[in-house]
Amino acid sequence: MVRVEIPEEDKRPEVIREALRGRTPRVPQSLAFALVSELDIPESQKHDMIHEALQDPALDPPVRVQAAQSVAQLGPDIATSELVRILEEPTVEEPVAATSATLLGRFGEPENLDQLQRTRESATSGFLRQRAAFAETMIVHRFGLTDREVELPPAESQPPPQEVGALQFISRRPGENRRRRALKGVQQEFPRTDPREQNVYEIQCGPVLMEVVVPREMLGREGLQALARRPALVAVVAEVNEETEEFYPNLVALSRPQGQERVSLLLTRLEGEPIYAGEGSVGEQEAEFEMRSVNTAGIPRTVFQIRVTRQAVKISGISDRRAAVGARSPRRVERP
Amino acid sequence: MPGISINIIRVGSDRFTSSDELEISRAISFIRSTYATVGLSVPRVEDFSISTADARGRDVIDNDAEASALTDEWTVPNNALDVFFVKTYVGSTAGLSRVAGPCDKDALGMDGSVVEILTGITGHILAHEVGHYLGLAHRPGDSNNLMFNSVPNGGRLDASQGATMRSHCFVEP
Repeated sequence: MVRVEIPEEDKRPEVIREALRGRTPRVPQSLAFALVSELDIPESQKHDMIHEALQDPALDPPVRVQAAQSVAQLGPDIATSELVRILEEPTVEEPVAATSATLLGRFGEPENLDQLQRTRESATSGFLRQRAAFAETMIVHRFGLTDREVELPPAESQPPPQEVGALQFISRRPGENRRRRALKGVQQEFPRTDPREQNVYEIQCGPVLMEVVVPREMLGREGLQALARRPALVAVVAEVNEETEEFYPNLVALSRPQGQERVSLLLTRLEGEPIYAGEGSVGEQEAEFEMRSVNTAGIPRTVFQIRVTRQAVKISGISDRRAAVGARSPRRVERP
Repeated sequence: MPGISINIIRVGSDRFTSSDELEISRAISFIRSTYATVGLSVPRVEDFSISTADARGRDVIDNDAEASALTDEWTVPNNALDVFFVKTYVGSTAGLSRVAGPCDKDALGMDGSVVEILTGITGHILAHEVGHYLGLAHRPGDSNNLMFNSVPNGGRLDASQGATMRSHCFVEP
């Protein structure tokens, strides 16, 4: 990872305001949006700067996508109202709508579900429809809503890997330093997460180090029983960035009751693509799940078990070293 | 001279402009001249594209997870390093790569580099990220070095860094 260094004298509102419109070559637009939150001005003025940029019809869609992303820095409440406003625009570009819907799924409230449903129903592409549908799914699971039907993305499991030569999951509790960094990373994408209310568990699988952030309330008897009654966002999985040693959230774990104390569990990327799927049973004292990797490009065959007790979450499993389903190939072109 | 070959993959290629292409050409020249100082050539550069529609939102990298997913989902089936060029990497990050990345591009974990096109410094970002993939760590105390944590920097490499890069399995003798 490499960061772009901006001189301190350029971190001023008048410079950043121009940079937001691409009129300051020494401050890239993508960075200008990130710098708004660092400015020494009232929050309302930061909001106005981003709001103005978002309303500029001259901005390219990728720049408006950045603007939509940057409202998240202003806190979930401001972000929610701004994202809803974007989705209500009659001529909003598809990439901007897709990003806004995805973010609304992470910050939004149940009252935003109708807006997301309208976005999904009016979408002219499968891409936007999928993003909006997954945003609805996120809100339904975050708030445990039982009165709203959502469609989970389809997930066909891969066969388990051969045990010989497979990578083992090594499961443990992280130290305070890694726990704190994992929670910081999760909070950046899920700002409504209260770090004091989370437990963190660690998995090492080959070169990949992951921290599994689980709401503490899920581990109690009531929490376990609730899994059998309503959908839930039961964990966020953060992966370490080898260069910076910071953690970034990579997967969310969504559970849904299937009846008779059976519960399905789906781990997806933050935008909704399924990666691991499985099912388990929930009792008064513990829950157990058997998970497998989904038949998707770039994901090695993996099988793992999750055991949730009132004290802890234990994860064990094995993974192939390489993906069974090859990635897609980009189209070869002549150098323009 | 030993060499590392690179696949230049334009993500959201239909939005790339002639000035983006000029910036990519300059970046290739920069990496060639910088690596040559430590005895490493870039003999083969092949060009590829992923349309905005096929990229399904990955043309704008919102976070590190999305950069990692991009390298999982797309791979050129050859023995060159995949470098994904994007027009936007949200925030102050301008590129991402594994350190000492794998030569099996279907291996578990990130298996390519992602580079944001930023006028005037794309070459630094490209050379820095490919340097990571070939095994180089950051040099936090030396702003003259290419592997300083941020860009722009002095863009230099030393002999030990050259030796590390030349020992990577992607490097052809």
